[in-house]
Amino acid sequence: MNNLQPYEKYLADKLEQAPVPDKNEGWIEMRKLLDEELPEGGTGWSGNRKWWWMGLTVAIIISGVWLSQQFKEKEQRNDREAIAAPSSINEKKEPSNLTTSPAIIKANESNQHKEPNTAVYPNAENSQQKIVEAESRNNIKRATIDDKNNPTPTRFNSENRTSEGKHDVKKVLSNPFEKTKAKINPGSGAFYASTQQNHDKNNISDIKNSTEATLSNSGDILSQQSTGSSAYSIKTPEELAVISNSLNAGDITDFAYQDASKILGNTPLAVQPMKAEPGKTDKAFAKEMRTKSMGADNRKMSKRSMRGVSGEKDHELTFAAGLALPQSFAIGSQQSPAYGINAKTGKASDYVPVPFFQYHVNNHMFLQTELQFQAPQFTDRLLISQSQRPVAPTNGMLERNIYVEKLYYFHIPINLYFSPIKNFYFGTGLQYSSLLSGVATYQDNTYSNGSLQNSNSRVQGFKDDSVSAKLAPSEWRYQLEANYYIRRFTLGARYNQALSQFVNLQPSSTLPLTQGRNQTFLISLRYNIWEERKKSAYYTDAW
Amino acid sequence: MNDRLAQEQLYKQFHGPMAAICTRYTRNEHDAIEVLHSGFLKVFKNMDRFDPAKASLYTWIRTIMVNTAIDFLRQKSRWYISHGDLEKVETEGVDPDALQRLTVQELLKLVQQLPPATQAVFNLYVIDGYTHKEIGKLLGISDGTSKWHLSEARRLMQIYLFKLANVV
Repeated sequence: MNNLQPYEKYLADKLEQAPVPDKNEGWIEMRKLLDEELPEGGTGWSGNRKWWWMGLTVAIIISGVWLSQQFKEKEQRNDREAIAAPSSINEKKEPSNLTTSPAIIKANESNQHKEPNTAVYPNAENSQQKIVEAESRNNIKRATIDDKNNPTPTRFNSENRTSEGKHDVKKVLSNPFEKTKAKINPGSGAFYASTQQNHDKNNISDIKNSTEATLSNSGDILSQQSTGSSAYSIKTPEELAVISNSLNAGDITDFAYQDASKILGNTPLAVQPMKAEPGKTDKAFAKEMRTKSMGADNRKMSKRSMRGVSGEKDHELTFAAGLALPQSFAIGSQQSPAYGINAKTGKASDYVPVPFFQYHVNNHMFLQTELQFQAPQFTDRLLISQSQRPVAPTNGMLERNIYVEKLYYFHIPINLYFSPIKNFYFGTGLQYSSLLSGVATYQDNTYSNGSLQNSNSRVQGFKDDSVSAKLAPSEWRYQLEANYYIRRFTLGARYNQALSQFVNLQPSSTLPLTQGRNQTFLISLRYNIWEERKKSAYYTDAW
Repeated sequence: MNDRLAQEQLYKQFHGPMAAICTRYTRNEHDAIEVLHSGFLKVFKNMDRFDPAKASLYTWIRTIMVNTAIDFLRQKSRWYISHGDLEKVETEGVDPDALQRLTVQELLKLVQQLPPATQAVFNLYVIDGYTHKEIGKLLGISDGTSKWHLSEARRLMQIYLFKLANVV
């Protein structure tokens, strides 16, 4: 036990009975603090820890989306490579036995006067002539293009039109004779139209079937259903001779250039530009096809060039990340004090770079989010607290006023941008804002007999204390933005306004309500440090 | 423990004595409430660390409140740790009659008018029963400095009481 003087014991006993603030009112304020610091059911993240977790979550989501996009692109690339590989193999494995033997010529001569739409197989000796009714050219063409039995879509379907399709068509049409030769299997003596199981084979099959259709329409040999499942085997050398005779290189080439358009006559518009004129060279035809079929993609490129990324215009932008430098301006009756965070002189703390992430939905629309770790918020000079207490020796009164001067928030905006005009993007979205700290003026006025005797003011920062407890800890804001996007730079102007008031209280019982709603106007300069572009299938495959 | 109902019960149960401690260590009601709530927040956050075998709940909460109040004084007030000359300190008696004429509010004002460090030492030694050694450890000062602050508090209290008695 400490040695106390008698009056001290009395003082200690008396002070134990000192009046205290009302516990019910105190609990209301305490509960507010608890809701902020120890949310019910939560683990009680507080302060910076909460923001670290939130930032980490956003980073994980963005990384996940980016990785899935990468994976998707890789799959598409693999698909394209897989499509390209077999077609080249087919070209290399072309049989070279279409030589016209005397036997074939003989057989051909014997069949010169057959009906056009009838394929006659000259095994007359065994009375085994087979007559296969040929379908008309249109029927075959339709069957080729809109092959219902084909399990995979054909290249000539406009919905599945890809560069590979054009590529295959070009290659086949530029040298159709090779393709036609490839259909003859000398080992078995069969001329077949086998079912093409995979995608690339279907491409070739389309052309092949078309060729066959033309041949059969001319009545020289046979017709084949283009259903792929139908096949006709040639059993004897005579049959092969007849077929070989019909496969006159010149005829086939003429067909390829003259009748390709007829074969594709009923195809969707997307493939119609492949119509070639008689006598056109390979190069000219290929150029024409390329120019016409690029129409839609050219429009896409125009949109891309609107974005000013002409150097990278061949690839579509999907993700971008970078840093922004924002500059806030006081608007309306807002004041712009020359204090930084924690009431320190100098406003360097107002210019913390802002990391941002963009996801480009397409060429004229993108989503953007940012992490504004420490954004200044200018406000009106609002009185948020007034307390008075008597000064015992002088019988005067001390009045303390607290005025809010400036606030600092952590913002996470999510905006959707759209480009209706070249290079200009207009965006709108929502922003979550959480109060970090603020700067306030603490004014102490001393009154004696009702007149002001002395007044002292000091500017001081506040954070996580009773002053910040008077302000809304977080709020949502809607915002509008206009951007000028050129190359990797973006110059933007943004306005946002809170959906709720950040202060709504009565500083003292004799004063009116103090209310305030945050609004911000800022100009920012953004730079895309990192960009992820989706390589267009069209441009990656060389013509 | 993060149950609002339980927290409310605990808060209301200990609100009176804890608010009294906070009022004595601070200079106004506004600051007292701030300390009180910071202290209770620490209590709720660290409730799992309370060990009934070591101390009662009241003692544990009171210790947290005192420590919170001292931290607050260090941060917010101009914390002068004077190293006065103990030899020159003269402790004079206070007129008990003058003291008894004062109300609790007036007595509280007397304590609140003391310089922050002196006020803290006075509170710790006279009202909360800390020794000079404990005070020195808590405030990061020597025993002698703690004694000096106590003497300074007594001297100032005498002056204030004298003035107040004359006014009254």
